[in-house]
Amino acid sequence: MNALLVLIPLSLALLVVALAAFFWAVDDGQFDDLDAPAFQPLEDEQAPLKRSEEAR
Amino acid sequence: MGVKRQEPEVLRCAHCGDPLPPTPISELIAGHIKQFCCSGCAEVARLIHAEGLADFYRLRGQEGAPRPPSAPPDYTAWDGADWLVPYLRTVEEGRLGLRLGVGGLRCAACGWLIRQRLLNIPGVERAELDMLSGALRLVWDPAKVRLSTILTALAELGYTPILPGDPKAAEQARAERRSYLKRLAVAALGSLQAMMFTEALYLDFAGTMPLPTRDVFRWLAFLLTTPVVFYAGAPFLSGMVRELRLGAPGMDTLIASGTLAAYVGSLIETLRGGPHVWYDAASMFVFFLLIARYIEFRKREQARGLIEAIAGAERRPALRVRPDGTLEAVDPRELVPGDIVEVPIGELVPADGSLLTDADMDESLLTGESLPVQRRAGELAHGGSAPVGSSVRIAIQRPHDLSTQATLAHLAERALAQRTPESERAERIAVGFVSAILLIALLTSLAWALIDPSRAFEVTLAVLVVTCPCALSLAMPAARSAVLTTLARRGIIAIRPGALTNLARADYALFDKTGTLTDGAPQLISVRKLDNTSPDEAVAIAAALVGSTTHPLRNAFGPSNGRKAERIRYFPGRGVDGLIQGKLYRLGHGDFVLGSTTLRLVRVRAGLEPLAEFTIEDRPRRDAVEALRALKALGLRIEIASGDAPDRVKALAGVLGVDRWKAALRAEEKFALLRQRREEGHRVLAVGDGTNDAILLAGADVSIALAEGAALASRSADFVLLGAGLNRIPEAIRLARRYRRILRQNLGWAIAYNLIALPFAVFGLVAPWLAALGMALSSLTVTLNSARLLERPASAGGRRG
Repeated sequence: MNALLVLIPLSLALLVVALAAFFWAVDDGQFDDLDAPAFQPLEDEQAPLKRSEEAR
Repeated sequence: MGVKRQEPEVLRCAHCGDPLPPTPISELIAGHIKQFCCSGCAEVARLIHAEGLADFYRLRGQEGAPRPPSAPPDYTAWDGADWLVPYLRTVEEGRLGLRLGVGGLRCAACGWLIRQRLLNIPGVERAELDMLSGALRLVWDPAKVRLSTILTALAELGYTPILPGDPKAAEQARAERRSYLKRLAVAALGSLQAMMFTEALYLDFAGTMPLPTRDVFRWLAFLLTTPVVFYAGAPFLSGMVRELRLGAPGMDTLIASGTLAAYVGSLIETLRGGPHVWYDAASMFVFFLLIARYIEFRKREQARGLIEAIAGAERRPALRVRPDGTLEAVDPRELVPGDIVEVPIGELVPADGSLLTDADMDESLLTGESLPVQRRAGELAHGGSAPVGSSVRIAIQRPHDLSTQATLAHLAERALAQRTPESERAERIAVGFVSAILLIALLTSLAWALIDPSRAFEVTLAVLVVTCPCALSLAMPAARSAVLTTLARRGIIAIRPGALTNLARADYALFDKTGTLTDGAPQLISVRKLDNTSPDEAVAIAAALVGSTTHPLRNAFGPSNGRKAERIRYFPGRGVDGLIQGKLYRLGHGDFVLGSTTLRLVRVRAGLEPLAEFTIEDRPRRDAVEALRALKALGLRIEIASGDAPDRVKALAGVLGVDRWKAALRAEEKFALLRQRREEGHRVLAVGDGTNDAILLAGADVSIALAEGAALASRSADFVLLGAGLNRIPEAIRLARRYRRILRQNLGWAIAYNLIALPFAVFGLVAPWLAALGMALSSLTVTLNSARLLERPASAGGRRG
């Protein structure tokens, strides 16, 4: 049963991490548009590059 | 579905896709000679290739593109404008954000083009386009680039920036969507984890689990359920508070009290080491109901985006003429009497004003008149009408808000407010049911307190959970969201979903004529010979004359069979003339062509020699006959209510086989007719597209507007039909009737289940976990039953056009 003492806190910690990551992603606007991104794989372009360049 | 007219022989402009005029512009682009209809299109194509965006033409497939203006207007008035401040938002320091509507979008490729072009501008950080609502989200660095530069780039491509709707509403919706997602995530993860621990407790049939382990599991479940109940379930809790404050307990009260009872009860049991906890019931309950709420919210969002895009079309900037003759784009509400504005072809006049030149004005959206009206210089151009053939300048006489269109909008709003609110029977039943359940639960707990106090709580909880309105509360939203999804797939967007039941009950249909039953494109009906010129030749000459104009007549005459007209001159309100093979021809009416009342073609030599006369009529949509027949088969009576001239309405009614029609009706008279029909006891469905239909649409029991018509009509209607296709109206009615049937089944099932389960629960024969299972199965039944609406019942039974 000692495994539980490790695994339960671990699973709870993972839960908190997952939620924190999701909250961050939502606040970052990644889920704001659930329709348009469906078209993006059809495009071959360098737009994402541009964003990361700007971020640097 | 949206059937396009195919004219395979016609050569089309390499950019906008419109038929080429007799004298196209040829341009060498990327090693190929391409032909364009106008210098604007050639310019855009050159620009698109220069920017390395030629993929646009591959991506867009068969779709066309909007035709750009000859010179983009000046948007410098938008830089630092006061009226724009409420729309702007500071994204991070030094970055501004703006949500804009975009006019002229045709397909996803347009979105691609806009995004690529704007991102190529240094300083533009984000340009995200939501194709569904036509909204563009811009983020830029004002230190590097000015807003006017971005907007000019957009306008150069032929797309019009549209002032956004209420910025606060959009911001609020975004915040709401984000919080829904977070709540869903918490509810999903929290309830699954809580379920894991409580499941372990349930499976401990023999009671072999050591008490400390049991209590640790219980406290863990408590820890996980707490955020689910109070964070994820907050909408239900605040809903309960609101409902109780109003004295009308409803769905939220029942949901929240059920959740809280399970939660508080479990906590008490945990503290005193009782035999059962129900944390999983509390958290799963919140999770499932939250999903239903979120689905409904998304549907509302979708409709709202559409409404905003439609309303935004009205808020296009007006082009004010500066003293030095240049144009500036301003908010139409800023216009004051005395301002001169320019109105491009096909754009709506922003406010009532007097014309500076003669012009042909398309007033079909305001009056239903199918053919352009001739207006002389000095006459009034009504706000909401649109110039045909050439752009016009007008001197503003009345502010935007007092103009014809705004007045009609006001009337429509009043009619909408007078309409009795949509009261869904399901909702009323639910409220009554909820009150009864709460009362029964209270009585049960009192009774059990006397019989066996140790079981009182458990039994009360079972009553609350077993009757838990899950199925009942899902009955409507599940069916509704399924039917709305199906409708949206067929291009019918519900602006007011509550009107679905009225759509099912409609037994009378009032149709507008121009633009609704007809497609608003004039068609050549007959040619009368006036000398020995053959009709075909006369038509070809006329086609060459109007081919290079943007007059709606252009489409009536079709291709010019190789004839080319030169030195074409357009005389607003009179006609056109031009040289064809060295001979001068005129096409027009009135004095221009020897006082003819109909459209006449003449040859100009020493005098005017009449060649032929043309009868031009608005033609019915190709599926109009079939759609009306289907409506009759569904038991609806049809009547045409038109603002157009009686002879034209009569002719159309004859073609469509409609025996009731009224012509030359003004907007108020259409409304009076509607009221009369309603007093006769009919439930009236109104279908229209014009500003003059807005009051009718707003006042009818249920209404459908055509999205390509006036923005005001769409805003006043319950449903908006995207693209053409009247056939989808009977389909929508069939679907609405099916929805009503399934809703009844759902309610019947939910109530029957509760009536059967309730006595067992009251007498303490149902354990809470069994109650939770029953509730889940009941909800599942309702949901699956509703999912039947997602199929395509209409196309299975009927033909599709």
